[in-house]
Amino acid sequence: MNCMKKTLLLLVLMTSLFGVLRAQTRQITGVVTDKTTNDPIPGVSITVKGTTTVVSSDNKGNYKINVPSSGNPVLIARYIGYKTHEAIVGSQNKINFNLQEDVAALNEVVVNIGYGTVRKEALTGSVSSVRAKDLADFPVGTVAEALAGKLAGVSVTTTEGSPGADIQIKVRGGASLTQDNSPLYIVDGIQVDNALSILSPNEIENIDVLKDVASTSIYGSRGANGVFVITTKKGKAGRTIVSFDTYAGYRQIVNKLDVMNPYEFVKYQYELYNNNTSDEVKNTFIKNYGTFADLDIYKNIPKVDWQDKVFGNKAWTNSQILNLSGGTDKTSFNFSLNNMLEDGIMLNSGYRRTFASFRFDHKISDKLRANVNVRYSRQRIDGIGTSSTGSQGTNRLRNAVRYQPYMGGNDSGGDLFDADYQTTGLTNPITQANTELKYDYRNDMITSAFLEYQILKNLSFRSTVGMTFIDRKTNTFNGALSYIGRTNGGLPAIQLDNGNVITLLNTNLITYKPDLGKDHTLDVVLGEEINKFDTKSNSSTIKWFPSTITANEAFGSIQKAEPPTGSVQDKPTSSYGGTRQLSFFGRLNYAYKGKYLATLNFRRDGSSLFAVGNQWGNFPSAQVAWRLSEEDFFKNQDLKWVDNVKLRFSYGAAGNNRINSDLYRIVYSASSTSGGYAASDASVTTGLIPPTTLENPSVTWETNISNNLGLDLELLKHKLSLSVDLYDNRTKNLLLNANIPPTTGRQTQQQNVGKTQNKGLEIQLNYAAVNTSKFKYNTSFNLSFNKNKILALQSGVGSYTVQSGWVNSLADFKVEVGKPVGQYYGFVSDGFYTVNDFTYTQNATTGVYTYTLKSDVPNSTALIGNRAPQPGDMKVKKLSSSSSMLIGDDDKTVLGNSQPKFAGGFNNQFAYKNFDLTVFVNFSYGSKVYNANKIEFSSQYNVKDNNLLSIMNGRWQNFDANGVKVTDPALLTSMNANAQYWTPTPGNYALTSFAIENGSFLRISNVTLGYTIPQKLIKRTGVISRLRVYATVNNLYTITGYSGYDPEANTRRSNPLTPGIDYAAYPRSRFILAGLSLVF
Amino acid sequence: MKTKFIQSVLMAAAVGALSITSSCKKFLVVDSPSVSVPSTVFESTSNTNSAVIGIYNRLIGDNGYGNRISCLYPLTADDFKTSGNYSSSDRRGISMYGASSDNSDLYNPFVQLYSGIDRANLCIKYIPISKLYTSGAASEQALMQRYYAEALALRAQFLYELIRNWGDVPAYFVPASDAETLFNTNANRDETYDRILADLKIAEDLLPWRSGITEYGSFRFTKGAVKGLRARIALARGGYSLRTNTHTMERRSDYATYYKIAFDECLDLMGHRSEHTLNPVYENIFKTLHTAARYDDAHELIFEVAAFGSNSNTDSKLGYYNGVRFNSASSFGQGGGGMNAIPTYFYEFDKNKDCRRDVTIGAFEITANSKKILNAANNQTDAKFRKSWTAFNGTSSSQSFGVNWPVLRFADVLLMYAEADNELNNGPSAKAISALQEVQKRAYIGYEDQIPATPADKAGFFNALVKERLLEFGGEGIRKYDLIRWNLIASKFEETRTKLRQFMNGEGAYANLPLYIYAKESTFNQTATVPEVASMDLYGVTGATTVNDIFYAPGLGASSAPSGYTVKNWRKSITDDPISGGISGSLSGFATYFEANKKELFPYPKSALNENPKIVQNYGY
Repeated sequence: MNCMKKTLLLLVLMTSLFGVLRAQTRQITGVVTDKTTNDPIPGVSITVKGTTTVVSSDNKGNYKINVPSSGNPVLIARYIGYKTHEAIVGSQNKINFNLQEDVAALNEVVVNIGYGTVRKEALTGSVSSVRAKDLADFPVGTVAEALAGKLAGVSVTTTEGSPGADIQIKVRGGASLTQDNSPLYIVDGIQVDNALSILSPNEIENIDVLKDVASTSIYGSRGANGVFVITTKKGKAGRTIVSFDTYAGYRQIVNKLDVMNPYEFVKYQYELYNNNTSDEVKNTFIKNYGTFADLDIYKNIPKVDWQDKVFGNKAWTNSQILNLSGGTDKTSFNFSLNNMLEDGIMLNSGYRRTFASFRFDHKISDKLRANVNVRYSRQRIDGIGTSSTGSQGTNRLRNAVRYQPYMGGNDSGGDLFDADYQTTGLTNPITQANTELKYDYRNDMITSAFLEYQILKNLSFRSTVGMTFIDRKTNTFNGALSYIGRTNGGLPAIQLDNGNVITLLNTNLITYKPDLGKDHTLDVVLGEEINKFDTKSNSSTIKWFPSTITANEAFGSIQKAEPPTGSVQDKPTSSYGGTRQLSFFGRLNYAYKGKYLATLNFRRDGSSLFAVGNQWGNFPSAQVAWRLSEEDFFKNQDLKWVDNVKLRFSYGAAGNNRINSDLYRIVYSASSTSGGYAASDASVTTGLIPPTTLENPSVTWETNISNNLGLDLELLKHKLSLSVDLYDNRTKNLLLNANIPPTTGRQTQQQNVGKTQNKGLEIQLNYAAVNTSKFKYNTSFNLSFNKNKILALQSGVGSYTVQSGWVNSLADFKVEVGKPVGQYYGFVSDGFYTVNDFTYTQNATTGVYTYTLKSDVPNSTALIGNRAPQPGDMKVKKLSSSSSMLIGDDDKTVLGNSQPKFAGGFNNQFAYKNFDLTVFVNFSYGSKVYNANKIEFSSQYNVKDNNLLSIMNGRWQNFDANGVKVTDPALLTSMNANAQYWTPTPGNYALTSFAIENGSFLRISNVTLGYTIPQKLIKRTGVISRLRVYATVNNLYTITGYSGYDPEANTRRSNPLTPGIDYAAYPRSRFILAGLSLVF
Repeated sequence: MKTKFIQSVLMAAAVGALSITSSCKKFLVVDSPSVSVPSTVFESTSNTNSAVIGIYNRLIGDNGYGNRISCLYPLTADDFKTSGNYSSSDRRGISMYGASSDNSDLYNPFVQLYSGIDRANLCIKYIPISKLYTSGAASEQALMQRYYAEALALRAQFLYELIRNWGDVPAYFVPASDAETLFNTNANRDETYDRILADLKIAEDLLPWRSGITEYGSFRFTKGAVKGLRARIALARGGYSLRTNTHTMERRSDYATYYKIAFDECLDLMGHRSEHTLNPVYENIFKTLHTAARYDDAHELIFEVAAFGSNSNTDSKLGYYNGVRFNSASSFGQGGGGMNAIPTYFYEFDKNKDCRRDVTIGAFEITANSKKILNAANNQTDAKFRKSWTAFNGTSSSQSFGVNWPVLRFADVLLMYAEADNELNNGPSAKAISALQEVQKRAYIGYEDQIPATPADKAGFFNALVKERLLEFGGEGIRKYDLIRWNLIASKFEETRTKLRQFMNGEGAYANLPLYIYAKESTFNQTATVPEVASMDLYGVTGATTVNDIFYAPGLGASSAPSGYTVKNWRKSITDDPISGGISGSLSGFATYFEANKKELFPYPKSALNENPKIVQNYGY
């Protein structure tokens, strides 16, 4: 085969070239110092020109080197950030070097563009970068948190406040409609999923985010959503540096949902129990709450704030990072150890993580380099959280909000009036938090190694092998009072899930830089890559533990579970799977006189995800740039304040293949539950069943084609830099895990349908405003505008509705050609019906009025539990032109969408003497949030005894101050003169404009004040070379009009068509901490 | 030395790279051992059997005949209704004919039935083209034919269930991926019925009788089961149903053709009495459903949906959701109560002679002290399912007792035969009369010579059958669909409300019935059901010595009970309150929201319409 021949040929080439030198020597000594400070410089490499002899200076700047006794040897002193010096040895035995700082070199920035690097000036694509120093002052657990708002065009959204919560990262809006739009992460050459939550911030050297498709197309079928190329720190030659960082602090809930107090709660219950109900129901109220005359007692009953009980914990966090790095000019290493312990603000939740990473670089010879990278991460996430992918029945937040606002029974179980938890659908929130426990363990071992061989001066070969092992174990305990426990006869049940993923990657790369004279530079990369990805998983559910068993006892001895006579445990399940990818790629970088730059990329990917015939895809791209400032006519202007002007344009294609395997063919799998049948008495026979996903033989890549126009400016002697990018991304063959009619017998199908477009503008500005020895001020600002639009759907389909699923049967999103993804779809709220909307008659004997809706008034019966509207019921606007006044689906309209008009970040770093201050602000404007919590928590649904948000105290009143029902129209009108809201709706929930809120916000997300102990004091210790102490507040304050916990919540993530819903999200917290960082 | 080392490292790398990329083409195909493609599944008889088991799976579970389809959908009729107060979005909405389209108990069973059709379609596609089917050994071919026939029968059962509840449902006869469109629109039910009747004909010819596949028992389709199902579907095809275009209950002019199919199939079954016949003891049919021990040597149970496994997918909630009510604190543990008998149903049975009343209606409940006590008249339950008949007791906390659902039994064959015969011959033949009487005699055990007189005219005989099927199949999910196919649902509902009003007022047939009955806990003997009811401790009143007498005597009429007794509302339990009344109350009336020519069918689940806008919602929703 083609691919293997290539590999062989290369290896043969490499192995044939070797040579060793030997000679007679004498010793030279000397000291290396800094020209300005005269301080000695350790770790400077001293080489004998033209030989392989290298030494480095010690702590005091001293060096010793052997030089050939014959010939005319020359010594070269090299150190990063300094100009290289040469000295002719002649007859001297002692040579001192006095090195001068190289300002230009310090400013030289190298950008990793995937399978190679390029100097920033020569960059032709759109790349945003973050350097170690940008992350240094952010004491956060994961890199992802540190990145929020820092990069133009990269949105980082923490979806909820739980420890270890999903952090959603999108580059340029996200083009795909599939499961997610998360970018590809490449760490030191190998793919690492969720890298930003696995890596420790302190081990990052830099992160380069490839944003335009022409840049990402070198990653072919995985590049459509942007690529994060992450380089970790490596050790530097010289003194071994030991550093230690630690911080500790706590998190606390920022805001709570305001609910009714005990008296307001019982008044509301009184209404529910007495409004058009049977005597039996009325009597139940008296039994549960007392007579109306007794209700005043509730004014004195202390309010229990369940949100505070469940989420009000001060959640302590501490973290320690130990770093060791050093090396010689041949060998360097970096070792990092990071430990973090984080409590969650919710009961029984927390996060614990231990990382270790080791990077080793070694020059085997002048021509051969090797690197080994080993990284181990161990995480444990405790807590089941609040949201779930299920519908409202599994919402855990509701208990803390809707439970009666005073002590009912006791915290450990049991309720006075709802002992079996059947009537209210609620569980005491503390009981709930103690009865459902989840422990998520994750071990990641990520290893990679490469060998690089310099075949010729301008030709090199590198082979990288990467292996990652991910082990994941999730133990879930459902206690006797949990929903699952209750459906299993009130006995605890556990679920044990194990999964592991092994990936193997091998990349073989040839880099060639032919010498074409001084006007032309050419850089060629050719490569081949394989990706092997294997998964194994197993799961068992064990039911019927003794009711008092603890979670640990249950996990530790599953044999204690005892099926009731006649019952059997569900069978455990296991599954193996895997994917393969084979790729060939190449890149050509050409520059003419450093003025005209061009890059051509090409990649061909083959993937096992698709049917034979659809397996291969091609991803070409081209980029050109023009450095205007290098033109003579520009230079002749002698504009001192302009350093660099570059115009860029790129065009290219990249793919997205993020789908499961075997979607192109039907495969049967065995199941004893959804496929089992009791074919003979007292046993279940396992059956073979097709998947719930319908096969699609023609499923193929999603292709993203994009144009990008960019401008880079550097002004004021490199103090101010500005990048502006305009892009137009179009995605075709969109991969959509489409819901299909249930009448097919299946639920979803992976389809290539339609087209989307993302157009946008990004601005990134960095300004080193003040830079004196005493005071420094750096500021950076970024702003992104992105407009998303669906260009086409399945042929013949103009629009369709989608169910987000937080409640059954609610089609609350509309997908529409010409419109953005994520349109909320519902009714326009029109307040409530007043007496004037009805005709009424009075019963002569009882005096009671009955109300009939006037025939010309919209009838919202479908939204209020299919009953006839009464004064005070929720009213919505009729939008359809149909003659019927009954409100139905055709009265729904688009109520907004979750996409912001623009978003960005503003970072300010100040340094005065030894003090440093960072203030980081991020913001988003123009999005709408779908506050599903507000719908649920203001509705009655089908249950009584549930609490409501306190805004519903402003609801329509049907009972007077004496608890007597009022039907008199005049009285009813005057009683409700100040009513703001409708009668809480019974029946299923509906989306109205009431729940759509402005999601704009400005968040002061980080303020850090640090102080570095003066060098004079430090020196006295003899061991410490730097010590900084700091205090930080994360998520200090958010300015927003949003009434829920946090406008960034997004809890229905499994379907990208339903973004922006705040439903049962774990509340966000504020994080206050203090720390110190030490360098020895 | 150094060079050697490097060379060997590179060689190792080369070998590694070679072995990985040895063949690009093969490299890109991953076959997981956890899954199999159809060519593997259908080239093995045991795997094919597993695929057929996978179809059966769709019959059972909470969303199949384990609960929703068996205990919610067939209610209310003039036998039973669902307990509790009305809400459009749950099971009570279904029972009161006021379900909204977002009722969650509609969607999941709807989806499960279609999933069953898809699984059957795959088997129906792949089995006939497999090598085993076309050119395997004779024994392999016979097996594969059986599996093929079972798949056809199962598909027919799923479609029949969908049609009788929703009408002109979309119908698929090929796997979804082979279908021209995924967005199928409503299909004419007559055509669908004709197709499945033809399929069942193929299936019955391929399947052996019960005795030919003893391991199937009544848990899988045999020749007899397919014949019975074909007869039942033929009667539905030949009966009335609510038509989509006219919005009225109609039957097709060629209905006799279908009565003939039912006639022939039942006759054939009746000619094979060694395969299936009546169980001499009525009660034993239902006891058999509860345990692994069987009391049905006659094989009256022709087809059951089998349940086991204590989970919501392969087991049932029969006896836990419905059936006799057991207090959770009793030694039996929690059970029953989800279905309530219509108070007048009790009085449809002969007072002393018909043993079926006490099997069908749970007159008593089991208290916390594990004793029995009379239920109020509006609080009686169905009783063919009883936790005390299962292997489960109070020490078990399971909600699933492995109780099977009876789909088809021989009594139905006899009565279908009698009905078809009467219709085709314009009056009952001697054989039809004897079929009806055979069922009655089993019920009147000990009083066989006192069965009601059998009318000999067509209308009279038909009315006798209408009554007999009410008595024979109460609580078996049959009555509502019988009333629909006879176009009697509206009139029977009106009749029932009239009877309830008479019951409340003590008029007509209900004159002299007690307003209250006074009851005391008594030992639950766990004997046969008739003596069990007869041994309840009820306060004796003038002229009433036996328990049965007390049900028919005026009693004290006082709302306070004699010392030691608890008062049980009898006639008093029914009121005509517009909200909470049991006749037409908005919360708990009898089929309050029923509207003729509209509510005979359910609304299509809203989610299904959201996903497939081609489906037209049923009229009136």
